[in-house]
Amino acid sequence: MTMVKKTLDLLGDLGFFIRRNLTSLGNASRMFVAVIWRSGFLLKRPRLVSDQILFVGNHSFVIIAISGLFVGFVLGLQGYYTLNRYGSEQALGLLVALSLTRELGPVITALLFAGRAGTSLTAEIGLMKAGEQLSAMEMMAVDPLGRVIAPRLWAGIIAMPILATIFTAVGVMGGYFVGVPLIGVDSGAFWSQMQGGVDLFSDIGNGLIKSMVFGVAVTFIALYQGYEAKPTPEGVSQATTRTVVISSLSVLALDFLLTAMMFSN
Amino acid sequence: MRKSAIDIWVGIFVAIGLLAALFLALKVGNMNAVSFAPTYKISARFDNIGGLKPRAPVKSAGVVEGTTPEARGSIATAIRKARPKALNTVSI
Repeated sequence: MTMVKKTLDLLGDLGFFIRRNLTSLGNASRMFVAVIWRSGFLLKRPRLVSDQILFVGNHSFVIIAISGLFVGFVLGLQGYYTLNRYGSEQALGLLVALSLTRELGPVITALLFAGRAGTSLTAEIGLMKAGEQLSAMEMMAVDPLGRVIAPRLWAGIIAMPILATIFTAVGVMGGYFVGVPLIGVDSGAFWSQMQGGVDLFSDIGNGLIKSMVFGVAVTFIALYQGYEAKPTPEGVSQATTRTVVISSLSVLALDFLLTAMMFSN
Repeated sequence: MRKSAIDIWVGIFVAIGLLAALFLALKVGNMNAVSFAPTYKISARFDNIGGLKPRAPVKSAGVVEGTTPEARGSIATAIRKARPKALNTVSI
């Protein structure tokens, strides 16, 4: 009898879990459409967006550039080690550039962005909610979705491709520094193999599209978690953790989907 | 921070992003090769070009692909008709 009861409890928990997550998925989609719908007024007040670009973009610049440099260094070293076995170390430039433009640039930027900017967005919105600032805005007939959420979302969407481009460019330079002056790969072969193999639209363009999609996903998840956080210190801290977990997982899952769509012939 | 200071920093950030995009397009993606012209120019520098004259044929794998428009000093410039997808050896 207890066995049957346990099984039923388990099924009940599962149903509750699915129902709760479906509800929040629906809620998030509704909020996303509402935010996009309300962001028209930003064209009249672009300052709101540029303030937020300073916050999420400029302040993430240093961590993105340094990470890009070191990822480039490591790609140069490891790529040379592997390519050298097959006697094709001239292809080092191609390897570094393709890995960075297609995958590592957008993905690592998005993961770092989630940790650097996403968490602070969640904490900011969550504390605004806990301090009842959002309710106060509603009382004054100012829509918090338009005034608070929309500028941050657009700032994330604009800043992410810029950051990913910087990451990729710095990474290629890092790969060059390790590959050419340090290891001694021929400079001409390094660049010409890269230029021969990297396509402007299908590699660099698709990388940019990827980073824009990641920008929408990471920023919106951060804002949603902050907006729906429990208005307590504990609730805000849980929301911040959830931001990192959910946005990292969705970046990796989206990356797989986008890669399958873009690069499979 | 004052409004104009914010604008300057955001402007610098966007400018660095554009520079990075330019670097990717020109140096990594080789945007110069994205061209719809039927010919393109290649230049080579030799220590000694011997008796090379203007309009000398340029051959790739024995097939004439273009001519040298100029042969001054030690620099010879060749124009080839086909796209450079499989450029192996070019002889002048």
